[in-house]
Amino acid sequence: MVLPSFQVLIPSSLQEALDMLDGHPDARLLAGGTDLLVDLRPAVIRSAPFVPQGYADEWGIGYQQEPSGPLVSLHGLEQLRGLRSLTSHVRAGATTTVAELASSPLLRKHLTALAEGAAALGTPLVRNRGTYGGNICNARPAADTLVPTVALGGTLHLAHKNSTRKVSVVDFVLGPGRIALRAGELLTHIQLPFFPRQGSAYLKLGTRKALEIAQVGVAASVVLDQAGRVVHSGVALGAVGPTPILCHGTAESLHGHVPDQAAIRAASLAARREAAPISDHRASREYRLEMVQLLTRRALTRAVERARSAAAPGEQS
Amino acid sequence: MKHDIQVTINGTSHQLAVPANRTLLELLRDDLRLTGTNKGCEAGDCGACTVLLDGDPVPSCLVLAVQADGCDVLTIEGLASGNRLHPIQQAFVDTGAVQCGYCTPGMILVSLALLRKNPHPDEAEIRGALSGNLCRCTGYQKIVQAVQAAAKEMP
Ligand SMILES: Cc1cc2nc3c(=O)[nH]c(=O)nc-3n(C[C@H](O)[C@H](O)[C@H](O)COP(=O)(O)OP(=O)(O)OC[C@H]3O[C@@H](n4cnc5c(N)ncnc54)[C@H](O)[C@@H]3O)c2cc1C
Ligand code: FES
Ligand code: FES
Repeated sequence: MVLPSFQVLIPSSLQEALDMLDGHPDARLLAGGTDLLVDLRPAVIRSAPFVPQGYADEWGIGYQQEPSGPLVSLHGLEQLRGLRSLTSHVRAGATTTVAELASSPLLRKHLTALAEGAAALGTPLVRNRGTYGGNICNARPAADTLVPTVALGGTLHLAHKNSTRKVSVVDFVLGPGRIALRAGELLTHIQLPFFPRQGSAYLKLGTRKALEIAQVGVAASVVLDQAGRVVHSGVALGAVGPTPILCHGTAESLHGHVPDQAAIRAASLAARREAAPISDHRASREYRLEMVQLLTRRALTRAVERARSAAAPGEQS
Repeated sequence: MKHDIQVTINGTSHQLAVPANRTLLELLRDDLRLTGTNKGCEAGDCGACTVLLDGDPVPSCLVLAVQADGCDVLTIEGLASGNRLHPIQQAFVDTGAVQCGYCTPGMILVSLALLRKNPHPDEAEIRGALSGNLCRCTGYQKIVQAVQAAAKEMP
């Protein structure tokens, strides 16, 4: 089936892209196209009644979208691509591919949960095309790089023709497919802080190793002080609510404690209380709740191990 | 409106005028008659449409032709030299890794990209690399064996 006809605008600089968005309030951004082009294609087997964006299947399957204004393709904008390490954070360009995130030694070392999330997304072919910014802006509750980004406290940098602003990823994602992107705006990069004595992990539960939307995804990050106590932590749950859920109760329960088995168990129970899963064809609500608790325990355990081994040599942890 | 693009396909540079909604898959199959690249799901799920785009395997059904402007594309037609099959193609034939053949071009291109990066992959690495390409016939075992055999043959 041929794609519906549309116009594509191809900017060669960021400013040109922003001018185009400003001139076409109904324009849509095209990055890797692994979500957008699937959604634009007339449904044959995937037929579903047309539902407005954000009201369709809340749990991760594509919904059909009406072709509207032009697509603004980001493929010519090299400056939006790639990872850069600064003293206390990583700056990831919005069109950095998922494959680049998965194979980055920088992320593997400092922000392991994000590299693990990227490696768990889709298939190798999809990872070579799909982008980090696209995964975030598509805002599925199970999105495999979005969930770690929530746990790691990512900040999104948005550009508009005349201004720029920053927003935390938690405030950006409003619901399934719904984001706080204003007309004319573009996500340019994602900033992720990292700390000494930090460890993180992402676990995805599915029935296959590839091509699987998570039944439950859990990302955990832990930062320890010199005495081995938790000074900062983030646990994010995927596929158990309309957006990824940042567990405040888990962070409170861990704060100031040495994360031994008992502390991790308590924190995992707190995560279970914050999950709000539904039953669907992928898994039942009860099963998802059990799995949230189990995966949180495992992800925290891994994160803590990594934080301890990240401690500077000779330091007690 | 058509867009003028330049794409290098199997080593030959092409200047083409393409409509915005034309996919790279349609460009290859319908405009250039390179029908070795197969059309399956058109949704990124099956890998039948795999080509190497600047060396990386991608689902050509989810790439707009205009997005390939300036890129280097390798399709299955670009592998053999005359009547001599590429070592990976030969290994697929010799091992019996081809049944209906629908998945084969994609499988071979993914294997080529893998072996270029990692000349001696273990079985898990081979299966991981092929995990975006579905085969309804072989049960994958022979395909994995073919890649292992090709790894030994390749310089
Ligand atoms: C077979 C298959 C399997 C998949 N499996 C998974 C999976 O397991 N886990 C998972 O999380 N996802 C999965 N996906 C979904 C998809 O691959 C990812 O979400 C991918 O990261 C999207 O990136 P993209 O660049 O292709 O986005 P696009 O399709 O180009 O864009 C997606 C959305 O984001 C917007 N957008 C893109 N870039 C920007 C920007 N810079 N600023 C503002 N808005 C922007 C677009 O307008 C669009 O609405 C799968 C897709 C396929 C086809
Ligand atoms: S036809 Fe492209 S992945 Fe199936
Ligand atoms: S040989 Fe028939 S699909 Fe693989």
